[in-house]
Amino acid sequence: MFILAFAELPSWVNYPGLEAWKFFNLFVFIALMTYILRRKISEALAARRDAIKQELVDAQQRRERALAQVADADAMLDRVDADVQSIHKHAQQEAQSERERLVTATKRELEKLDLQARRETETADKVARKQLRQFFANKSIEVARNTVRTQMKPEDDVSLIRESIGELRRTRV
Amino acid sequence: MLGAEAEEKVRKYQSALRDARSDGYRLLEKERATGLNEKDQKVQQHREELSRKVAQNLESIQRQQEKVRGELESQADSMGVLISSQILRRRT
Repeated sequence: MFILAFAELPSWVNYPGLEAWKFFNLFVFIALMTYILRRKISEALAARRDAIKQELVDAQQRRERALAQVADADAMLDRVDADVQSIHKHAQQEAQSERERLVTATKRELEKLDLQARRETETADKVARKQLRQFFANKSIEVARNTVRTQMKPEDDVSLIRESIGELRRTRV
Repeated sequence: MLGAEAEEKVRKYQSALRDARSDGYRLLEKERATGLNEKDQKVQQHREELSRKVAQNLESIQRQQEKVRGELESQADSMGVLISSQILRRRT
């Protein structure tokens, strides 16, 4: 710098504001810093390079995934008509099953009603028969009782008593 | 861009499927409502018919019962006489 400052140099070297020694200093400073920091700069650049490489790989993978998704979506759209038809067919089958189920349920309900009606009639028939048997028995006994009362003579009374005693004796023996 | 395109296509596909399923549910509901209505009508009609038949049967049983009761009344006289004669050891 002293040399630059005191040597006889052309005037452009000491142009005010743009003196050559400033550029020389800058050059020395950059060289020195480069020498000192070259390893760190190199590492930083390498790291940056790796990061960029990784980003490129990631971007490529994302693109491939997106392309795969589009391909899947295209495949889905290609089979949408078939899938819709399948759903319609399935719905129609279910509707048919429901119709058949309801027809069967109706039939079963009607059979149940028939059975109930038949049982009601049968019960009424049984009750009527029982009442008639009861009536016939009561009436017959009533007639018999009246007849016995009106037609019984003293000798019949004695005869019945003897028979009863004889039966009692036979029972004891 | 590609992702949005794929999403749009998937949305279209799912929308079509959803519409198809809705149609299916509507069809099923319609069939069920129609079937239930028919079932109710048939059951009601049959119930009324059976009710009439049962009433007729009960009436018929009652008529027969009255008729048989009249016949049994005369037979009961003979049976009563038979029983009394057996008790009294007499011939009828």
